[in-house]
Formats: sequence, structure tokens, C-alpha cells
Amino acid sequence: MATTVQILRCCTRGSRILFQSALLRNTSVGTKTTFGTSSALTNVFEARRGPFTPEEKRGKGHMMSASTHWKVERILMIGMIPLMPAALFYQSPFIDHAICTAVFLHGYWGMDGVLTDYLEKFVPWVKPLWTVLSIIAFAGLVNFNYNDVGLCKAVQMLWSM
Amino acid sequence: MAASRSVMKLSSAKTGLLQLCQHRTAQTAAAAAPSVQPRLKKFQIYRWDPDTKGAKPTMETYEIDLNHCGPMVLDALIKIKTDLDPTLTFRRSCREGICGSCSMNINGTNTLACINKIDSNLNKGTKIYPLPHMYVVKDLVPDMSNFYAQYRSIEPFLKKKNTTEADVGQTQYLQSTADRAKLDGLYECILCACCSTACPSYWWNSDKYLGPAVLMQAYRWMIDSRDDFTDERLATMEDKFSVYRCHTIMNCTKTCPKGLNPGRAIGEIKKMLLSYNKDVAAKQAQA
Repeated sequence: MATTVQILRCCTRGSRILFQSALLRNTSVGTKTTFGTSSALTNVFEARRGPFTPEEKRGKGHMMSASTHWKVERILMIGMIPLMPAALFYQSPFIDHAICTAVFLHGYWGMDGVLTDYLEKFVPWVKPLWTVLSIIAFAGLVNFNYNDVGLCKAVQMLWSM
Repeated sequence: MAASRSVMKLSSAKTGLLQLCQHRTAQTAAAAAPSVQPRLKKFQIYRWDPDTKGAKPTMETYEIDLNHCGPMVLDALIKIKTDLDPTLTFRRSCREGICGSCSMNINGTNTLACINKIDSNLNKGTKIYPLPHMYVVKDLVPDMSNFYAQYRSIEPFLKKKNTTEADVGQTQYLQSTADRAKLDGLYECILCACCSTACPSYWWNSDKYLGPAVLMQAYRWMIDSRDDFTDERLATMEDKFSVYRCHTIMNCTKTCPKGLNPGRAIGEIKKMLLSYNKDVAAKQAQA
């Protein structure tokens, strides 16, 4: 618990630095507005509150549009419903890899959403870090499927222990 | 015959009026009579004064005799302001749940003070806070400028294609009964912001996520049969924040004081986003 609080505190501190740097950029452009006696820091908060333009929210360099991404996520989710029991009755390298990919993508996107919700705006580098970690984890799973008993068999062994 | 009937009507109306007057007088008399036992109820209210430098928010307790107070929380607030503390600040206007001014957090629920009955349990105090996760202007008054700016951004008005200035006002835009019925449960929203400020996603990302109230109005204009800009409206939602920060928590629907269902409207927007003309979105992104 205490660690969590400390991590969050660090994040807030980080965000403050972030806001301050944003302020510096603002002053150099000359768009800073002053509201009465409020401090410069609150001004930055006020500046961030307004609605963002669609371009700003959309961002750049996406492989697919947000709605397509949502559609793919739903299709994967529905696909997992038959896939899970299938793995229970029928084991093969193909099912191993399919389960592996489906569970991995589902978890990757799920956690990605959580990071977007809570952390990304304070710690922008957390998303690339998550992608790198996920790729390493996925490589590990694929390696396990090729060079060991495979995911389904491993789960079976875990339960028969 | 007709004349006598109208006289009859008139006389019966007169009797009715007389009865009403008597009834009202009796009621007033009952209220004015000294009550047997005072029904004292505590109200704990969030206070914050922006004019005192460095002041922290506090909770202030007021005690009110419910025998001399109207039934709703807004009545109690007005009574506190008139009788006990004129510095207490809150928004109110219509006192009948149609203007959306007096939205606040009462006993942990976002609702309108004017249509929320005072809990008659005298042992328990009523806690009143401003709408959660909003910047507070003073006491129970939140800063709504971001909320209104978001509402403005969805262009909440009828937009037509292939019309010129000269066409305006020439013909009516007719709508079938079925098409009109689609707007029921959407147009009644009074923009009190109870739903948006009850949404955890909106708490964390109110700068980018539009929130249930605004999205329901966006949906209301998307499905209006008279509006020509459905695809364009959907295209403006094409990012991971505007709509997709909704995780169907459904606090919005649970808290809505008008009994509307913003959660469903957002779900419908997501469904519409599955199959709409994406070329429009591409064009808009280039422009």
C-alpha cells in the first residue's frame, strides 16, 4: 500500500514537471493568459482543461482507426468463447498458438486501456514500456510452445499437481 | 336549458373554489400552529470560500426543524440561506427539476436538490457536496465551463446539406412519428451534469473523454432523421478518447435524476461506429 502511494506521488511530481515544461513552451509562444492572481501552475491546468481538437485526440501514426480497433477487439473476444473450451478437449500445437495469441492480445489491449485511462497522461513513456514488455512476454510464450510441452499441456499439468 | 346548465357549472365551480380556499386556510393554520415536537435534522454541507486566501474546504453543520421546512433538499438549502447563513452559495432556479441548476452530491448520489426528498430519519445527517471531480467556484457551485465547451463541440443543432441561406424558413422539415419516437428519452436531458460527474472515466479524463451527457446529445443529433451529417458526426468520434473511454460502468444511468439512459446511448454510438461511411472520416482527417 505504502509503495503504491509513493509511486503515485512520484507520478504526480513527474506530471508537475510536465506541466511546468508545458508552461515554458507556452510563454515562449506567447499564448499564456493570466487570470487575476492565480499562479502560473493553475494557468497551465486551466489551459489543459479545454476540449482538445479532434486532430489532437486522434494522434498520429495509427495502424487502424479507433472504431476498427474496437471492432477487432470485439471479434477477438467473441472468438475466445469457443476457443477456451476447445483447448480443454482438444490439444494441438495449433490450439496452443491460437490460445496464446488470443489471451496475449486480450490482455495486452486490456492493460493498454487501463494505462490510457490512468497513467499515460502523467507518465507518457509507460505505453512504449508496456509494448516492449508484452513483446518479450509473447516471445517467451511462443518459445514455450515450440520448445516445451505447450501452453494447454502446461495448464493441465498445473491443475493435476 | 343551455343557460341553466352554464349557471350550474358556474355554481359548482364556485363551490369548488370555496372548498379549496377553506382547505388551504386550514392547511396554513395547521402549519402556523405551534408544533408539538421539533423535528431537528442535521445538514452537513461542503463549504469553500475562494476569497479567503489559502482557505481549505470545510464541512459545516446546520440544524433545521423539518416542521418548518419544505420537503425537498433544496427547500432546506434555501431555508439555511435565509435563516441561518446568507453566505451559503449554490445554484438554483426552477425548483421543479427542469432547469438542471441545483445538481449536487447529496448523501453520495449526484442528483437535483429540488427533486430529492429530505431523508426523514432524524438520527442521520444529510451530507451535501458539490458535483464530484469538478473545479469548485464556491461552496456548492462547480465550474461547468469544460462541460459546456464539450457540449458545444458536438454541434448540438440541426445541420442540412445542399441548403442555402435563401432556403431557410421556406419549408418545414417533416419527420415521421416513428422517427420522432426515436428521440424520446434523449431530448429530455437537461444537462445537469449529474451523469458525467458520476462517471469514473470522466473523472480521470474529462479533458478528452466527452462524458455521458454530451455523448447522449451527440447520439440524439446522429439519429435525428432530419439531420444530414450523421457520418460526419460519427467521424468526429473517431479517436480512442471521445467515446471509447466509456467502459459501461453505468453510473450515468443509475444516477440520472430524469430517469434517462446515457449508457445505452453510448453503446448505440459504438454500434453505429462499427458500420458507417469511413471515407467521410478520412476526408475530415485530411481537412
